Amino acid sequence: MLEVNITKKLRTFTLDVDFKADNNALALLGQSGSGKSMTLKCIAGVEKPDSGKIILDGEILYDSTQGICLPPQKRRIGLLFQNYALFPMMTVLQNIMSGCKQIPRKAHALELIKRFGLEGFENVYPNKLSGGEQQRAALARMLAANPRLLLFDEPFSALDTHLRRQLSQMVADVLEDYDGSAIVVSHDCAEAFRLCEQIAIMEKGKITVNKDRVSLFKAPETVSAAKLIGCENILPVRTGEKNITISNLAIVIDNIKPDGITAIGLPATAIHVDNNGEYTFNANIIKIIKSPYDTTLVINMDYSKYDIFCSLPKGERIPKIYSNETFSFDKKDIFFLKDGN
Amino acid sequence: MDLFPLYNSLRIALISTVITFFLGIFAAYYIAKAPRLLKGILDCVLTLPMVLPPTVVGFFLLIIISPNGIIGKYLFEWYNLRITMTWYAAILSTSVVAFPLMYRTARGAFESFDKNLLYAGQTLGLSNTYIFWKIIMPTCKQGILAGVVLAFARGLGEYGATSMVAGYTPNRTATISTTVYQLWRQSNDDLAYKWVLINLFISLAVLLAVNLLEKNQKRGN
Repeated sequence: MLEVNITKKLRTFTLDVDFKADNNALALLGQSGSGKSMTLKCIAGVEKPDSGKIILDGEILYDSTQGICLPPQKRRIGLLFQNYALFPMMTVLQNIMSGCKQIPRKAHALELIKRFGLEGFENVYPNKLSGGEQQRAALARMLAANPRLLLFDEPFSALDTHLRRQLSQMVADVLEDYDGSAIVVSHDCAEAFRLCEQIAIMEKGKITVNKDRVSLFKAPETVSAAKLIGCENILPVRTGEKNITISNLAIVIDNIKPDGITAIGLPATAIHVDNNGEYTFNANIIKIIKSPYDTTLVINMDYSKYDIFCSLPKGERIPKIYSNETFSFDKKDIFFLKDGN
Repeated sequence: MDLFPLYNSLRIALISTVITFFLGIFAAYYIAKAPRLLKGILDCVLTLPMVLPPTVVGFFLLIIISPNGIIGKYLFEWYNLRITMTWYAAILSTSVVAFPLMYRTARGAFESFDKNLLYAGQTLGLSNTYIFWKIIMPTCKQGILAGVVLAFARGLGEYGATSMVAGYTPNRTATISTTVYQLWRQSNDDLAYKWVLINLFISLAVLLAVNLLEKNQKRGN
């Protein structure tokens, strides 16, 4: 169990995070520069917060009111870096042995080498390894130190798609075997969903959403959450007494409590080219984007500044470009979102 | 031919290189981590000996260590110790003049060091001393070695400050550079030539070493 409640003044904003993580993996999701990496560094102890508390399994790692700040060496927290941070003048085996606590160190390190498929690379230096191999070596090195908490800082962002999938599977296995807490920092929502039960969204140094992954994907509550889970259409709304108006589509949605709602999210897959849904509108197709799995229509009503994306499954009839069609969607597919940006 | 000046020059240069090595690395390491304003001020002060004329450095040193100088006064009163006009006074002057070269190259190396390696070492439970000597120093090896070679070369060729604090006494404080000057004044050109050639040879060797180091660095080791 990890409890974090810290503040730290950064150059453009103030980091102010407050969360708890149980033994399930937690994803910290957010755009680059939102303070995710700094949060991890503060937890690991390589950066010092300005004030607050960090408690891991009942042990105080940092407490500004009591003047406690354990050095990173005493925290036993594993941190995996985006650029792997393998020691360049040590071989793979030496790298893995460097933090190894269990005696005999070499036998333990060799075991990890085997587990991560690095046999044959024992005496190779990191600059001769591929990105994927470096990542596996870094994973092995982190686990060798027998950490109580695992932190992953954008673990796959430097890898290409194929490797990314393989390694993400490897990390998923590691997380499954591991019985401490883990935090994965990412800006990719699919990755976060694959690896973590719990997803927290960070914006400008603050955690704005923290919920389990299923409900986050089913019903994001804020604009940024909707953006991060990949919701294509986010439209501003005007609110009335018991209804809201989507001005751009000239659609009024009745029987709804408008408290705090500033926008709606509409996934591209929720819009259909027919008039069978509860709400319908007419729009011009201004672009057709084909991909191997589906087709995306870019549509616009009367040259408004919001283009709307509508996704058709493979095999469905594709309307002609520049034609005017009727589109529809249902109330159950709408996300009602708070806060403006 | 009396080889004392060669011996004296080499021991002065070697000892002052060792001193600047530790002081330069120490200063570079801590200043690279210092807050911006402090860094700027310390950087200026510590680099000053590189841009000041060596005679000005020598003048300052005399103010401090001469028998009626700020510190020299007490050394003379209490221990009857006179530092000026000895061969080891030259160690002080060459160290001060060569220090900025070591400091600046080492600082450059430390600043380009990937901080994540430090963090990785710390989270793996390695001590800060171990990380410094076994991870940071080997990674910055090229830059630091280049600083050592430059500091050594500067120490070997130092004339201005050295001649002011150590003077020229044959067989006691004479270095290659002060010897060449004295021989020229005595119109002993033959001997002056020999020392010039020795100096030229050492300087070429040093430059060759610097170039080799830089080439290695570019290759990314």
